[in-house]
Amino acid sequence: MSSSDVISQQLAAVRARVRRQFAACALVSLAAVLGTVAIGLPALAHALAPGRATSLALIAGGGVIALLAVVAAVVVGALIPARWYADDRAVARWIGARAKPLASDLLSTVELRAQADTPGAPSPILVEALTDATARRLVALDPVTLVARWPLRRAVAGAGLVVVAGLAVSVTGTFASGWHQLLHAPTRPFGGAQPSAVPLVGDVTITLTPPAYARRATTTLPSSSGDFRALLGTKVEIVTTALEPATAAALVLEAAPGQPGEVVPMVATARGLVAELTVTGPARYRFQLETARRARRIELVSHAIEVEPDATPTVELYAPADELDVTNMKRIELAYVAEDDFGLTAIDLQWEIGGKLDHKRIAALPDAPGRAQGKLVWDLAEMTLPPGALVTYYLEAVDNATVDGPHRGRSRALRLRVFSPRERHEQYLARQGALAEKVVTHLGHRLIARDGEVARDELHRELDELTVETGTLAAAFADDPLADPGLRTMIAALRDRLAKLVGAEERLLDKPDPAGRGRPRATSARLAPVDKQIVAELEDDALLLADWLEREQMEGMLDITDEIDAHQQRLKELLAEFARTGDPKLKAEIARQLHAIDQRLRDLARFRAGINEDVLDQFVHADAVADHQVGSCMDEVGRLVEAGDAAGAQAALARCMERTSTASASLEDALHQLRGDRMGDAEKKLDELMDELADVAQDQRDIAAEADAIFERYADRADELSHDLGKDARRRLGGLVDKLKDRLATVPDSGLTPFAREELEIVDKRLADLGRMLDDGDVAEALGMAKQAADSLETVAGELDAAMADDPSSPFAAATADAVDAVERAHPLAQKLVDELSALTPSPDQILGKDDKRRLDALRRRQAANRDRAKGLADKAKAADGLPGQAADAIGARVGDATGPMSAAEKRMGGRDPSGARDAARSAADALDKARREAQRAARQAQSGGPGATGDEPVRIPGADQYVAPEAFRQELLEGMKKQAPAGYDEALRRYYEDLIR
Amino acid sequence: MSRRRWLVVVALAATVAPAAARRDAAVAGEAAKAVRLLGEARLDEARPIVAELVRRAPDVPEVRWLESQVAFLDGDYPRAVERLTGLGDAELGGEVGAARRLATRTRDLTAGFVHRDSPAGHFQISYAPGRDEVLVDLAGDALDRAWAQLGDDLGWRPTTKVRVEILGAPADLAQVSPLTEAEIETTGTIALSKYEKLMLVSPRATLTGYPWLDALVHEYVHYVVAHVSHDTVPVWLHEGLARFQQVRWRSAPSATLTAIEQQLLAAALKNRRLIDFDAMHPSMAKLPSAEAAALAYAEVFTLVAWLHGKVGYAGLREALALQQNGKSARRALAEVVGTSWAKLDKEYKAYLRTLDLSAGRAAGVRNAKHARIRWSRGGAASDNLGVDEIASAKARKFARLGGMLRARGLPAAAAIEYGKALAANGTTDPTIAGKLARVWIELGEYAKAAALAEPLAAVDDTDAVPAVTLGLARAGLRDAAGAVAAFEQAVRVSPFDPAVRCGLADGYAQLGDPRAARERAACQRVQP
Repeated sequence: MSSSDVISQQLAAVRARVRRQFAACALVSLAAVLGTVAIGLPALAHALAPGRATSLALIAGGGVIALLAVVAAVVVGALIPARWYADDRAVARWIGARAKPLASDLLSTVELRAQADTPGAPSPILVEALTDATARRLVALDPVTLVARWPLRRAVAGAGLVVVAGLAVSVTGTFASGWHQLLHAPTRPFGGAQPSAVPLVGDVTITLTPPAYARRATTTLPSSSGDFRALLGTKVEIVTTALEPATAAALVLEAAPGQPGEVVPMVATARGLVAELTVTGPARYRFQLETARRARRIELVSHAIEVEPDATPTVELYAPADELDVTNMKRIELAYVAEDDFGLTAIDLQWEIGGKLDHKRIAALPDAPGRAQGKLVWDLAEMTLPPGALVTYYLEAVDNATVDGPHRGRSRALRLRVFSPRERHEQYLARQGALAEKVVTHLGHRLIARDGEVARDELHRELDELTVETGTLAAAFADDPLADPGLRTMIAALRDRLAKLVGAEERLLDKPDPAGRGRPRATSARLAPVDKQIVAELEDDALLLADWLEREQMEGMLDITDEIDAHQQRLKELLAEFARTGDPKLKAEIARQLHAIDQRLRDLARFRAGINEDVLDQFVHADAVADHQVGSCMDEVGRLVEAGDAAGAQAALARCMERTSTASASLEDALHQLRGDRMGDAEKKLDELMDELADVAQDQRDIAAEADAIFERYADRADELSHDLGKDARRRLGGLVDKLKDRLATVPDSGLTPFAREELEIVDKRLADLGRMLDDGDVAEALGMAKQAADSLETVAGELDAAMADDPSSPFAAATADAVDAVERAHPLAQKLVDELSALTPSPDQILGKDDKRRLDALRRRQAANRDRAKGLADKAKAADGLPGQAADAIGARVGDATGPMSAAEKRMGGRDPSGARDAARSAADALDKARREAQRAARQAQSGGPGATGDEPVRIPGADQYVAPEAFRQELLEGMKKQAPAGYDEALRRYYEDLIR
Repeated sequence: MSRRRWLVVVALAATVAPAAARRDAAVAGEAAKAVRLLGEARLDEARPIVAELVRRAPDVPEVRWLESQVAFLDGDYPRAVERLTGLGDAELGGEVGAARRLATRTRDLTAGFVHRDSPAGHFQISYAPGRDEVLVDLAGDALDRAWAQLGDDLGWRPTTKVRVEILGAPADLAQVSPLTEAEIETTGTIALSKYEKLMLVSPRATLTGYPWLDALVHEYVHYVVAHVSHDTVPVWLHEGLARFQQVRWRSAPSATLTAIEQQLLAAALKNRRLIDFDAMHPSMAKLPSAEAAALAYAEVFTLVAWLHGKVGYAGLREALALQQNGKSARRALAEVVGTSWAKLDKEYKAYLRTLDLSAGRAAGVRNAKHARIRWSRGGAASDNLGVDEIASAKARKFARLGGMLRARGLPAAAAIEYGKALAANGTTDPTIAGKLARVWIELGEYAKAAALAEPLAAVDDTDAVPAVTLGLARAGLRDAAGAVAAFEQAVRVSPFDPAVRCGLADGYAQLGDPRAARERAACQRVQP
């Protein structure tokens, strides 16, 4: 390629670049201008809020600017560069301006090439040489560097600013709304209708039909101003008359100012122009008429529709207390008074446990009364309440509003804390467990303490803390009724011993440096004796605390077993009742008991999981670990109850109870062994007393058995005698019985009160029985029947006398007087019958044989001796010290109780009364057996079975039964009733007051 | 079912069959025969007879009961229950009700079980999915070895797979057997061979394990003896053979009594309180205590060991064959020895007095009354298990403190207290020594631990604690072979102890034993 071609090519390349740059700059600038117009116009529209004409002017202005910009872009970006740089010399000058050393040579070369064929042109050789040299220098220049980029960059930056401004305007919504304002013509007020300052209609009558739930009558407001107030959902009929000729009429409803109105056409009827609408919220409306020339006119003054509020219902909740501590099986009495302006449909009980909300409907009110009140018993067994749970509860009253949904009013929230003395006791035991942990850990630290390795101060501080904690635990147990007295004593003594040792160690430790640098380290030699004492003390304390904990844990298990037993007993009664009546209502209570047992079984497993395996291994037999077995057994009871098989459930429950009883006995035995192993002295003392009690009880059972035997012989002998006497008595008394029956037959039935009639029937029955007894020769029983008959006759006479005294003018008075006479005539015969039979009945002394009399005397002496032993035992128990639990008090009290029937038995034996002696001796034996059981339970500080432990009595609201509305409320009610009711509300008010009174 | 109850059913089958069935006299006769065969552990012979009866008279109660029995003995519990549907509990003298209860309970209990065959395929082991899985390989291995060895010794090997069921708790065994939970716990009868299967309570139901592999093989011996003799061998000889043969899967026949058995036997001989063979009827589980049961086992074990010494396995096989043919056990044994039973009994008693029972009095031997299974009661883990065995109250106190300190991560302090306990006791108490050895391990004093544990592990292989401690100590002392030997002893008692399974895994790995992988898996499975 020649140098000339090279130059041409380079010039062409630069030309193209220059033109492209002009075009690009023009395009970017055009875009920026157009963008500015597109953004600026709506911004102006937004700022100026122009009328339609101004909007159009703005659009036109913007359009002109845009057009001019396009023209300018075409001229500057295309036409001018095309013209300016069409010639190589212009391009050479462009290059020369940017590459000055080449400027002259390049321009010369271009010009010389143009003049090459003209006359006077320089020597071609010279031109060639210049061309070559210039071409070489030109090639070395990169065309890219010759065309600067900054003009384009500046244009792009400008366009970028426009884009940013555009985005900002778009984000604020100005862009869309501005253009909307520019492009759309604004709507005319009232849809273009012509406003009228004067009314267009007259004689407005409004009829309001409230929603059905309000149970209000339809109300008509004649000659209304047009304003009205109504409930949401009220149907409104507006009747009016046009004041000027119109071809059509309508209501224009405006829900909110500035919003387009809804046009409700009015229908021309005989009554006038009628419009119908439903109130959906507060609004205003205007009347609009259309004339024959289709011109519309609208009233400038609007009419208001106000919404009458439907109040949220109110509900007052009454409970035994605002904050209540309850066991997790309790039932709580709640009461409520709820009110609503239109009607209540339901009352719900809501509760929250640990952030979880639950509810139950306690009253469904299909009649939707305006006021509702009631009481309920809330059974906490329905919920799973962990110990210590906090339950927040309240009532929600639901009204009958159907238009904007039912409204719910809430009562104040009350709180329950699930708590029981046993749980508090368990908390203290947990603290005791924590203390035991610290004692063992401190012991470990002391055992391995070497001088120089462990700071003596630190050990001393630990011991001091232990003493303080023991003191606080002692204080806690002092207020715990379930804590064993021995445990309280132990903890208090422990604190004292530790305090003494803390003092002793304190004295031996080096005094702290007055400069506050701490104590110097004491040498082990000086501390060794007290350290040894402390270690020995801690060793004993660690074991002591562990022993008590283990004992308390096992006692806790027994307490739960007791509770299971109590629930099973209750369940047994319920199942018996269910089997008898089949009443399905019992199922709920049965389920409650099953649930309670299930909970207790879980507690049992939880408790056991906390006891060390070595304790269970050493003392607890497999029989005692029965929760799994009893659990599956109780599941079977539940299934049978569910299936309605009451008999099967009873049988299954009997098996479960047997297992529970075995488990309980086995656990009791385990506890006894544990106490014997770990607390030998106290248990030994208890064993001695219990052995003695067992002896006394056994002796008493023997005495009772002997008294039984004597009585049996006495009864046989009495039977024989009675049989002989009976024949005689039948013969002698038969006539007397018949005579008495005849007398009774004369009592006029019309003179009897219902009660007297019933009582007389009893007399007839007793006399019939008496005859049979005499036939059997049972004189003693016949005597009993005669006595009952005589007593009943006295009762009848008394009843009839009272009836006459109450109402002497009664139409039955005469007949009653006759009846009294007849009864009084019969009574002496009955008494005679009693006397005769008494005379015939031999005395026990007559019946008893000689040997039995002797035996009875001997038995009396035995009974006296046993009573003295029992008394001595009771005294010994009362004086005993250090027995487990409340065993001493229980033995003292219960054995003391048994001495009463023992004395009675002795007296009866002395009085030769075999029947009385037998009953009293048996009763004493039972009391002593009971004393043994009670003592066993008291020894373990039995924590259940006390009053209300599993009782079914709910926690009542104090005085709820005697509730009377407060004086102020009643007064307010009376005053309210006196006031004149607003027209149309008479009926509603009357119902309201009636509800309140109810 | 007891022999007496079988006879009741035989009688019923012969006489109480409904009229329609009685017309087919052969039905009653065949039913009676099937009942008798089932009672003699001859299921294979009974099966075709029952199948034929089902074909001929499928609705006859006796036949349905028999079909149910066969299904039950085959392990098809749902079918066993289903075949009794519609029959009243009181039918067949109440046998229907009893069979239904047993089959239903067994079906329900084993419903979720999975099963695996032993490595040689002679046993099918069923178990609840979960941790019991770690027992299966060990059990299968031991049983396969017993299958081979007992086949040689007693001359009979089962031709079909023997079913083994591993149960979770004593309560489960009580559900599916005639034993009560109290009997199981009192006597430690933790495994049973009955209903054509072996049943075993998993060692996880116990706190410290028990010799479960020996117990399993013990039951397998019962299974073999029952089949060889057509279930004619009385309990005392049954148990004697089982006790003698229970170690054959892992050792040669031995007449050596354990130290605890020696202790019991010595005391019984001294106090003339030996348990009469007849008092062992109907089951060792019915004896009043674990001690009584252990003594009874010691007695019958020495008898069989003594007889084995006299007549060898050939003589024992012959005695079984004679009993199968109707001879009484006493007569059969006398004939085999070639004397009268009176003389044999006298000789045996005299032999007992010649035994050296001094090992029972050696230091470090647990008191026999404490060598019982310790059952888990669902309580909290404790380091003081077994402390109640310590005779001295003072030593017991210090040992308890030692356990409390160890449980709280203070092993150095615990060692001090255990040291005091040992000093207070005077002699080496195995419980204290075992616990102290364990603490030495935690303190890294392996040599001290090994010195304490080695004699304990040697004297009583039914206590896993010293064996585990010894294994850990030897592992700490880099004695892999020694550690494996100790852990293998421990795993026969306490297979759920992670220290045992992980220790075995490490030991096998160091020795290049392929069982390392199995133990590694078990190690991971038994981690708490």
